[in-house]
Amino acid sequence: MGLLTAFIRILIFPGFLFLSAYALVLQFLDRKLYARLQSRQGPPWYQPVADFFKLLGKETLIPAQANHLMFRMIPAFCLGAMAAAFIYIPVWGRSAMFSFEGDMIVVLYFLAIPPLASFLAGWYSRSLFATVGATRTLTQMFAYEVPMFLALLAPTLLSGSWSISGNTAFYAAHPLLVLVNLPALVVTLIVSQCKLERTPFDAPEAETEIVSGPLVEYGGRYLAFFTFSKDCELVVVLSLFTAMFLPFSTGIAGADFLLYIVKTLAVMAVLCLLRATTARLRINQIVSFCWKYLAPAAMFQIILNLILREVFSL
Amino acid sequence: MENELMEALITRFPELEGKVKISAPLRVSVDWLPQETFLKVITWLHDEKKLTHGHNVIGTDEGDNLGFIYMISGEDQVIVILRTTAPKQAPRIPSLSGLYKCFILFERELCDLFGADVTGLPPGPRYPLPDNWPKDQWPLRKEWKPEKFDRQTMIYQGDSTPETAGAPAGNPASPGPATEGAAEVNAKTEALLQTVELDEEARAAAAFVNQPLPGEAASDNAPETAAKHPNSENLITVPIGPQHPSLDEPSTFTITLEGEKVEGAVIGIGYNHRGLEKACESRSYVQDLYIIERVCGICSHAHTTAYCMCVEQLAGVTVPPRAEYIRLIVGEMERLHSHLLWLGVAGHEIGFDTLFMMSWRDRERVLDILTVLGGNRINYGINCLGGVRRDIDEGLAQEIHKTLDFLEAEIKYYLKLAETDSTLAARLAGVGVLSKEDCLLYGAAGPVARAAGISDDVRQIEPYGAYRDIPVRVITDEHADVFGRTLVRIKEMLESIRLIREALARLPEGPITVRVPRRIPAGEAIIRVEAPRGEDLHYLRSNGTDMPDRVRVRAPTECNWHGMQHMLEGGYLSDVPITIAAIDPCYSCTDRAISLRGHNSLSGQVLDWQQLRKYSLDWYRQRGIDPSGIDLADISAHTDGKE
Repeated sequence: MGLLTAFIRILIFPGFLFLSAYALVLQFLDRKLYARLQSRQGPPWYQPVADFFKLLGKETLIPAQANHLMFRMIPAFCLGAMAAAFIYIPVWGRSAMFSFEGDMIVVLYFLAIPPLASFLAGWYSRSLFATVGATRTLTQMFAYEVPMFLALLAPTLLSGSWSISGNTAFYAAHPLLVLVNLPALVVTLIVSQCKLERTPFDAPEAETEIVSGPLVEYGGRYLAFFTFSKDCELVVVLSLFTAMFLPFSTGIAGADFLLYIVKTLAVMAVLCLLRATTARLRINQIVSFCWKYLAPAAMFQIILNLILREVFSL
Repeated sequence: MENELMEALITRFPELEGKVKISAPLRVSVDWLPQETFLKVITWLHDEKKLTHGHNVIGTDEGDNLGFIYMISGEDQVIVILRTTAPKQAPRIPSLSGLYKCFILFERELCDLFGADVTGLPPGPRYPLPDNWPKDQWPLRKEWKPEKFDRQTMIYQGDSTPETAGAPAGNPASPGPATEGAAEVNAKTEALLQTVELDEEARAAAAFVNQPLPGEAASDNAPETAAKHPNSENLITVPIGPQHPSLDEPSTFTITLEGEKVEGAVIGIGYNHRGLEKACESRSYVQDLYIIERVCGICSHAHTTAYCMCVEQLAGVTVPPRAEYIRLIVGEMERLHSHLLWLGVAGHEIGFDTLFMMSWRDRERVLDILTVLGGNRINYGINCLGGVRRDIDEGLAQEIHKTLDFLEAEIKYYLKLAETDSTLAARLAGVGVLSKEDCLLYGAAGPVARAAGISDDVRQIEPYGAYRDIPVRVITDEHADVFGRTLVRIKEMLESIRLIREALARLPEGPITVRVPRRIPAGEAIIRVEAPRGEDLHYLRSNGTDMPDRVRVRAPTECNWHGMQHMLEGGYLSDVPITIAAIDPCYSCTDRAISLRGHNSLSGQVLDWQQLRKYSLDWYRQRGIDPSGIDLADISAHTDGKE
């Protein structure tokens, strides 16, 4: 692969530009579906773009007590991490743009950056509501990280590869084994909602309690990039989910891409349904839910996969 | 029941012979008493007769004296009306908040609106007047004329200012020396000085706001708490309000947090005081109807029903049965739309936006019917003195039936949802608990009391209007928390649907209104009505002219504020919005004026209109934006109406 092709793939397709466009499309579809579920009309298709550009044109206010450098840089960190994580997830065809043994761990660490960025954003804004929200973000992160890691690593025990592309390839070859990973699939689905801080796990940004949590002091272009990177996070999480748990593919790159779109949209619809039908949980309820139910379920999956591998040598 | 109580009173206090009478069914009225006798009587009634529920305290102007009317009741629901007076020169009365916790807000009103010196009242924020209101202006005294008061400068243009002359020496509400018999110029300078000193006063008030209420267990102020709390560094104070996404009207809840746990809460209300009671006193009974309609946006019908019933009782008019049925139908429609609104707000507070959107969608159906009937979505103004304004014809009745069928299915679905949905139960159960004993102690009303198992529904206690023909099944619940209040409200909607159907089926023929004389004979009426939020109590006194002498609106929310601190403390920050929402607070009902009130505990200063304008112009100048053509000196001219 030449340098130019690499650049094109990273920056344009299936890299950053595709990620951005798809993030905005997904945001629209998510909002539209959410609205229809609530018997509302919902926004027109260009609303996310309009919102983004409108925010770009707004005046930026930074609180006097805030750390200005950090305040400005945090949205960039967040977006950068998401763009980097996306490189290692297969979109076009069965393998990602780049992959190496262990890229899954890298992606998981990149995925830890948005909540940390949220926390720092809240912490450096020095606002009461932002501080409370920042604490909640971090608390929530400690709640879901363990089940998420366990659930995502469980399939790798069977495939024997710690690379996302390697996993996809293995499960594409053995589609029936996907059924084994069903508990991990459910756990990851719920944890995704938790990670994305959507209802019922949106305590960190609970509008009616702490205004909007860590981002309360953000406005203008910084807010635009922050919300945009959150949209990108949605795409990355959905893509990772489909790559790990729904790795069905045809082997033809174009068809696989279409399949990828269908799969991510389907998962998004499930997440949207979950968001529309639940009330927001308290932070202590989230923590106990994650540790009481999700972590043991993920643990069960690990043990199951270990037994399958060692005893039945699958 | 009334007779027994009356006899017991006279046996115990022979001096009351001839002073006690049954003024109306379930009302025992005691004539004006000297303060010592009054205190003995009310203490005896509270301790021996267990009349522990305080309804209201009303201040009146009796010429040279201030009158204080107390309404209390016990298990048998007879309201005893006790009266006492104090001279205007030294209007000192003892606070009864020790006996009746729910009298605190009412007694604060006496201080602010009448200048009464209530001794022993726990310190707390001013209510209901704004912080920059001069402390020697008591608007509900008869000699105080609103047209003489300049709201921008806060100067009263009185010639001999009898108000200031009446300032009692020991009154903490009037720190400055009284300007007795001052000439007009002197009064102006004095008042000007007062506005200059406002900042000082506001700071004093700010210190006041954060004082813990004695008798309340937990403390309110971060520095205060810091002194005694073992974990003091971890406490932070979060202001919920005056502007906050979870509040639909301005109010301040200063929440002290340790982590997510609420350690203390101070409630600041009074932002919506509009001076409606004063306005009523200078308008005719018919004009007042339109003011009363606007006390509240949601329970407007309940307020006018109570007011009309007061006037009708005084005038000795019997409302035609058809009008009473139409009042019932509109009243129950109002309960439907109010409870649907509440359900949506509750859903929004706990992040369940789907419930919010759906219940508000259904609420529109009720509002559509009310629009057809009254011509307006909210202030439908269906009541008039002596009956109702519009009739229900066959076509509309069919429409109502159709809407009810639709709503019944929807509400049954909400009930199933509330009973089975696990996230709803997780967020609502065990939150904002106010036990039966606490409800009685704090005088909670309406769905809050009913959710604690108290069968407190005026429609059943003393049926009025068409409720005499169509008995109400009172919905109670034993949960005593927000979950219980949700169930009570949803089930009440089903009961409302039943009542409307029955009323439509039995709608009698006949006229819908009778003539009410313009001049109302002298007398007083105390009427209570079950508003969607609870017992709505109106007091009306007439003096034989075409204008009322005193109108007092005691909205249900005013009762429910007293228990709020108790409900909030010990809970989580996440539960603060839903706990506040669960009493279905109606701030404007309680406060009954748009006034500027600085959030004193944060900024420590109150800006008047001119200062605010100056601040805003300076702010733009600093940024290089020249608000050209606007001169500060011109502002008063502009705002005086040249533009």
